[in-house]
Amino acid sequence: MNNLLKKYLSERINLEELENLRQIPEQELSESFKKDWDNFFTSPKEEQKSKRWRRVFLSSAAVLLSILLFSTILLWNRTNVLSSQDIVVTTGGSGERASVTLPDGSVISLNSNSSLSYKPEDFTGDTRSVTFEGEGFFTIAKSDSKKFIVHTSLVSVNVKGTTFNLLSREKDRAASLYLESGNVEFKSVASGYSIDMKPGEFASLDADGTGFIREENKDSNLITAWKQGEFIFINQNLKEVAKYLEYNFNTNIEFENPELESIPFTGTLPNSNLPEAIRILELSFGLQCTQKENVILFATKK
Amino acid sequence: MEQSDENKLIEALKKGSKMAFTKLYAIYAPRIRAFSLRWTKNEITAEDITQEVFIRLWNERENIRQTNTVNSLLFTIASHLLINAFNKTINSPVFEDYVRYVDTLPSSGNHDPLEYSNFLSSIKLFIDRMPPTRAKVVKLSKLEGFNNKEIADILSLKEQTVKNQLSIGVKELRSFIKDFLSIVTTGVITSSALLEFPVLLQMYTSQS
Repeated sequence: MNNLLKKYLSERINLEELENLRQIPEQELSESFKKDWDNFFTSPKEEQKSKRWRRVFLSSAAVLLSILLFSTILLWNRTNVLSSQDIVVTTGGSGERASVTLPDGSVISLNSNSSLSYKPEDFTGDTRSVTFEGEGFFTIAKSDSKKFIVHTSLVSVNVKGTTFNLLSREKDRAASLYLESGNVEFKSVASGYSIDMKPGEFASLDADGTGFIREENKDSNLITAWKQGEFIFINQNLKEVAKYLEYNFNTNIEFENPELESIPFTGTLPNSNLPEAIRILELSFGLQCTQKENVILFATKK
Repeated sequence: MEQSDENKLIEALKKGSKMAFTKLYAIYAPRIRAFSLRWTKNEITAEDITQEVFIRLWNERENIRQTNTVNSLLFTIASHLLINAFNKTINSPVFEDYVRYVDTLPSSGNHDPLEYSNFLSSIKLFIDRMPPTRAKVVKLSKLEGFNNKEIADILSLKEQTVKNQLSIGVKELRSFIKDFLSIVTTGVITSSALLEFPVLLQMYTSQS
């Protein structure tokens, strides 16, 4: 981008530069807008397209590789060895989201900082299985004979045909599931203890990681609001809000004083614009947020 | 968002679905607003642009040719509006004053790219506290860019009156800007503090 434009944006422009900026041709200006827009906001569509190409490439590469390997080994040892690669889809921070369609037609919507992986061969037997970390909304294709299992580091989810929102964040040791339809068996990896859930139920892993806490009447709109591009918070303390922001935008937030952490927040924050989210919090609580390197410090205005 | 979702929203929108329009608004309005704010540094303008983009989207809904996403279409609509708004900002006397004074101050580390936006809001608050005629004259001159003769016509005043009021108003404004910016950049009080605490602003203006 034109250097003058950069200076204008960061408010480091001087008078002489401003006068030069006024001469900028309209063509150059609109091209700069376009580039900036594309940098700031990838359409969820385009993201998905590029990920799908990557998957197609990966899976065709995997097929090619396995054919080569197969034929090589056949020639050498006359042994049946087939290797295939995991298909992995990962979303990064900054509001990145992705949608994955599995070989059986199941669709998984990934929130930011999440990852899904599976082996195509895991879809041919009588169990379909994927490995997951982060947050996603799962729409699992119904199958009378085949179970579907989601493995995470903290929990496993066993379903038939169903739609649910699953959150499993290893770093936080937090896992929760909201069941929209169908039924699931929600199991703790640590203890093997599991519960059966019915539609409309919400359950989260307890502090130990060995059991579950159930809640009914959780508003599904709140839980799946991330799919719409905004976070809705109801009476969440700032500590929780900060955690969500940290995950979503790949940043670190610290509080100047611990009392700030327990202030409750009710409101909506944008999913893909960190400065705006911070401003909303600043205005709501009379905060002053400053950034040094990769850490944002929340403090009260003095 | 899943592929079929936005496809369906666009299809529904073309048929006049207000629900689909609302959903698209929820998805795209924040980014358009943020993008507009980034380039115009003016919250009110950013909001106006956002509204205008969606008004046009709704009015032209039957003619939408895009099927997968409206991302580019919305940007195209916004882009025209942004060029005008951007030019208005960089040509505005207030922005020039801002740049001039920021230039004279020692550079500080924490520079908020939207400080001008806060600053502009504070300026407006400050001007509103002037006696009514002076406030109108200063606004027309500094914020709207009219010349003295035009202002005299608009307000039905003698041109000399306009000149006098403007002269006093600008002096007050310059003094406010200087003090305001030095306070802001040394971090004693922030621009947003002045915004949210009109009491502070009142204290400030009653002192001078």
